[in-house]
Amino acid sequence: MSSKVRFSLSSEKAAPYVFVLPGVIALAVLIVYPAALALVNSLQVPNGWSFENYHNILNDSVVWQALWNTCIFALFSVIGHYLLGLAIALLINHQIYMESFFRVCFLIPWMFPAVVPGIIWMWMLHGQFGIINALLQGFGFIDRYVSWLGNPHTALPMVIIANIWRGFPILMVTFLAGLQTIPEELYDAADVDGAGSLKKFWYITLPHLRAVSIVMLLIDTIWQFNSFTIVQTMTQGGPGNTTQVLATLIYKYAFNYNMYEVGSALGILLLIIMLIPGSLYVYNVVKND
Amino acid sequence: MALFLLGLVLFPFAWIVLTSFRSLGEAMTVPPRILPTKWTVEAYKKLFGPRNFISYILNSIIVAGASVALGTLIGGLTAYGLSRFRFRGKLQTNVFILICLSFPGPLLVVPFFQIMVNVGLFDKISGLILAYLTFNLPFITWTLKTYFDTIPKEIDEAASIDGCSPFLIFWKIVNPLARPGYVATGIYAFLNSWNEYMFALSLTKSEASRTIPVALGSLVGEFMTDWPVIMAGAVIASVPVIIAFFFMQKQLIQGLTGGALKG
Repeated sequence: MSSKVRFSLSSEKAAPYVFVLPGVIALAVLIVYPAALALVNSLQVPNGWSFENYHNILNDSVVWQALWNTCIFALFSVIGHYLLGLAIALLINHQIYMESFFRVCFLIPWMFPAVVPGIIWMWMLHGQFGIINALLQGFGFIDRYVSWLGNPHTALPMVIIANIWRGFPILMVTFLAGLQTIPEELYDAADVDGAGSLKKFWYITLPHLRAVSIVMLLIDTIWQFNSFTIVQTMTQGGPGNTTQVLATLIYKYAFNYNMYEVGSALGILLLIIMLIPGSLYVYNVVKND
Repeated sequence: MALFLLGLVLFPFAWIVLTSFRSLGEAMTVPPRILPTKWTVEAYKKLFGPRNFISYILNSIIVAGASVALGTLIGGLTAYGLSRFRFRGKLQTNVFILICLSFPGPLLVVPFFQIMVNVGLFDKISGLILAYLTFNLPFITWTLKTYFDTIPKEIDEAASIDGCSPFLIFWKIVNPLARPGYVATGIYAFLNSWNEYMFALSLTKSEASRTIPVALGSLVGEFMTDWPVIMAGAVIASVPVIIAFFFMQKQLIQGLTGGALKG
């Protein structure tokens, strides 16, 4: 065996494939095959092939609601992550001695196992014993305790807030790394020219963060569209599907109702939606590589 | 300003720690007090006594460890191949890895469940190890590739002139140089697996194969929700990660940003 490997490795042409192929084959088995299986499942009906499952999900109002919720959830989460991540990165970037301390402390929300943020916020938002109710009532913002996650109007915003809290640190860290690649001379030169800090931010900082921003916005959009854990732990899609997102709906159909073919069709739908941000992401990373 | 924001961001964390040291009765007082009137480790005792929390921790460690080890073994080879050689299909391979890296996981859960049932790996730790490769392998491959790219190719070329085979160069020369990259990538992938919920929830059923996130999630669903116990579990599940971050923050942050940033 080993002599065979050495033989193929010694040939210039074969060597790269010997290195690359195990990984490619493994990924084909682990990702391409299951995805193909999902596609086949979604198209198979008892008496042959049909688009029936797709027809059904597209006529299902819950699916449309989940689609809408997923878009709202992803949009506000990504904007929140971006703004909070950028603001905090700018704030702690020049804290010379404290920077690494701040950096690691601000990362804490992101270190938790994904169920923990959901559990923490459930507890804080608890309708009877929640600290947030106590604080809001203490400051006079509300008269009575509110069941934030039980109310169809407030549940989705609360899940989004929890999700922003959980996810901003990754953007912050990336921005901090990006900020450190900006040459200090640019700011010195701008000072000589009498530029204010707003102008420096607009003409020096932002353009330098452009490439990082694009990649991070795209990957975060993909992550948030696929988000499952925080919704599943906090509300399981309820009340009345008002926080249902595609990932939790797939889980519900497949594992609560045992309707695997519907779950698979919804998964393919998610994949189709992800084609746009996904291909932009791949294009950008390959271009920068 | 930064300190104020930090307080705001860390408040939820402080709150679970404070809740975990309360008795059940005190956690349910209205209005809640900031500090417990009586500090108690009752919740931690309940966690490790009647509940099998240690076995969940072991499961999590085994699943994450094995998946990362396998991913690093395969991913390291692929990453080196992509970083060092020119060959037909290289661009396509790069694109393929990136597609896998951004592939929607929820799509994979249903077919994975069916496959695991068919091959008898449902509700088995080994099934989870394979499932976790779907996100670990692309991530490890790509991050290691960007790390290998920072190691000068001249080193390989010099060794090649001395008559080293490509595999020997990879194993004996580049791998030792890339150790920081391996450490950062490995720990980061370990944390990702440690934290994973969706696959673990869908592909396991029995107590014996539960990981920490699933165990925590199931505590919430219990009839009489014991919040201090849940909070104690959350603290136990998070503290190792936080300690790891404090000690290895440089490497970890490199692992975090390596995929998105060059150099």
